Amino acid sequence: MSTDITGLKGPRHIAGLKGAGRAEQAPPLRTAGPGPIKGAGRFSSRSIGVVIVAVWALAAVAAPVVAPHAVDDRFPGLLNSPPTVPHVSFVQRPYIYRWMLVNQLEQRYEIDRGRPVPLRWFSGGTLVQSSDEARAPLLLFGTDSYGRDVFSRLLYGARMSLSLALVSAVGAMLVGMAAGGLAGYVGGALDEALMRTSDFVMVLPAMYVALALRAVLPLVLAPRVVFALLAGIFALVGAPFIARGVRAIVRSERRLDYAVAAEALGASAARVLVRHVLPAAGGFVATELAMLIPAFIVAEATLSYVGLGFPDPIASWGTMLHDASTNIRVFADFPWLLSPAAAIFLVVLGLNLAIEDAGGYERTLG
Amino acid sequence: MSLVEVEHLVKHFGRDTGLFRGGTRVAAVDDVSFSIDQGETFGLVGESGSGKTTTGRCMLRLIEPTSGAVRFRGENVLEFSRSRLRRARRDMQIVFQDPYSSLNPRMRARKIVEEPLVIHELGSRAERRDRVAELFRLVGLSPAHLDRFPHEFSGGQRQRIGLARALALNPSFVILDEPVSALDVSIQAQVVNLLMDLQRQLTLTYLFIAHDLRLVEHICTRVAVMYLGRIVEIGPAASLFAAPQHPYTRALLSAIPVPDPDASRQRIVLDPASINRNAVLKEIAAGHFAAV
Repeated sequence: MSTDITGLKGPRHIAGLKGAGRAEQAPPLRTAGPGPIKGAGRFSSRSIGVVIVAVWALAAVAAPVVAPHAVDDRFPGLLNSPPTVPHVSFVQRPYIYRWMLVNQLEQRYEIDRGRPVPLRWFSGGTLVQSSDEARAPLLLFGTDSYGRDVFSRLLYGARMSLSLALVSAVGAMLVGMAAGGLAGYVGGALDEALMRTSDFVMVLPAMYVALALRAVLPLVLAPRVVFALLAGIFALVGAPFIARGVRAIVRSERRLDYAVAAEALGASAARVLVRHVLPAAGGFVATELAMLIPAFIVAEATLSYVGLGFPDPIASWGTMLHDASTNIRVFADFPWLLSPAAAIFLVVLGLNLAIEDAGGYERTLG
Repeated sequence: MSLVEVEHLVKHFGRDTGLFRGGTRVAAVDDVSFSIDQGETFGLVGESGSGKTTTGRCMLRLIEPTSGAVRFRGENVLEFSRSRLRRARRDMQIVFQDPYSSLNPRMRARKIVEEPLVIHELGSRAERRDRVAELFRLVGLSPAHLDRFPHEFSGGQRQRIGLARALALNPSFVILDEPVSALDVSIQAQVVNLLMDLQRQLTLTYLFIAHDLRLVEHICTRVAVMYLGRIVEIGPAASLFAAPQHPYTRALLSAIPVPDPDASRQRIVLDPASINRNAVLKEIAAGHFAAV
């Protein structure tokens, strides 16, 4: 908001002119109130959400650099091994302790405190690695039942899961807003046709549709094809939820005087719809997306489980959770295998915080 | 010379048919004719639901009328093609009753007033910027407030923004659809005075839709009274207010509050049976017609 009615800007400018140091500035006012004042505090919940989402997005993009290991690197002697906790001290480089297998059957490990293994920055093409990768690899989140580094797979999985959810969400948004906007604006037979179609899609059991689709396609598909296929299915299945609400909003908004005014000014129907009426649905769409994105992440997991998802060596949060779900001891003994669930939770939380104020509903209440 | 002529305008609203029920029709506007001269303020009064607003919106084709003709400078607006209508909209504008719903809550005041210029691709970005500031000053607002959202303005200020938007295209004819009825009385006077000033300054012709009869008497040159979709009386404001002929007009005028607590009041209660719905307009005095 460019207009400054909180008075925050004024004193700061004056302080700046006098050359006063930062320390002398008054602390920001914490004011509860509507509209522009919200978010004036140092940490709005919105900015926290943006940071969470941004960190995950960055982690996904930078996975090849940040992840200590490749997606399919296996450590056969370290199946389901616990995380190696980095120890930091002032006198030496950060180091970890090696895990030693003490019970092959129960997969129990003990720390080898006798020999600290220092960490090395910028080695092996990644940010940080153990100095003894063969015997004591850096495993921040432990390993899975194949002995693969969960932390590295989580980062690579973020690429797959987040990009799939994002592409699907954008697709669902475009299809849903187009269908809902047209149905609500034009009305009549088109409205009926579009809404009955989306009712039909909504009542379809998505899982069986997906399975049927999978059955008619070749058994082995390239990951890229799987990605496009899943994104297409998710977008189509998610679109009706957006379309239904957008239609209702457009239907009521287009009768308001501001939409009639735009028409009276000579705006084309497309302009009235896109520039004036559809933005009213922004808040609804954002909320709907915040629910669809996690649903897409989980749906990918489910479809991977039934064989329509990504093939094995590829990491996604869904395939990781699926792997974890096959082991009954996960909760008691290998909780680090559930880190993708924590990742999903964080992303969903971040998205919810980030979009809290979207669409300007508070503003319209004026 | 007449700027606008409305001839036998009819608008039926169909209530939708249920699966087992036939539809019903409501004649919101039922054979309405009048003309508005260049530069005058023509009042259209009547109670809620009498068809005033529908008549106004039909004239701009914001609602498609069922039949009739609306001639603007002699051309029938109802026969205009889409592109011709678009051009015509530059010349005929509307100001709405509700200052809250008539401005897009998600657009800044600047965008709202600039929108007509963008739609008609008038001027460069800088020229539009100047024009918007000029319009803001014209309606008595400070250009410093251009970047505010509608909710940051008062009702009267919002109505001024609506006016600035309507005037952006330099129209010659403006429909004022109860432009002040949603405002406080003190603000009403300011906005009405602004409207009158602008009319002189920009040589505008107004169709003033209202239910506040004192206001109409004050600012209108001619007045038409609508009742149940028809014009029951029409004539010069002075003549109509001095000697109302139609029973509905008399009842309506008797409902005007008198600001004198001691004055004895005679409220005429309308007896619908006393009205002959099929009576035609007859000339009673010069230019003064009533359906009695």
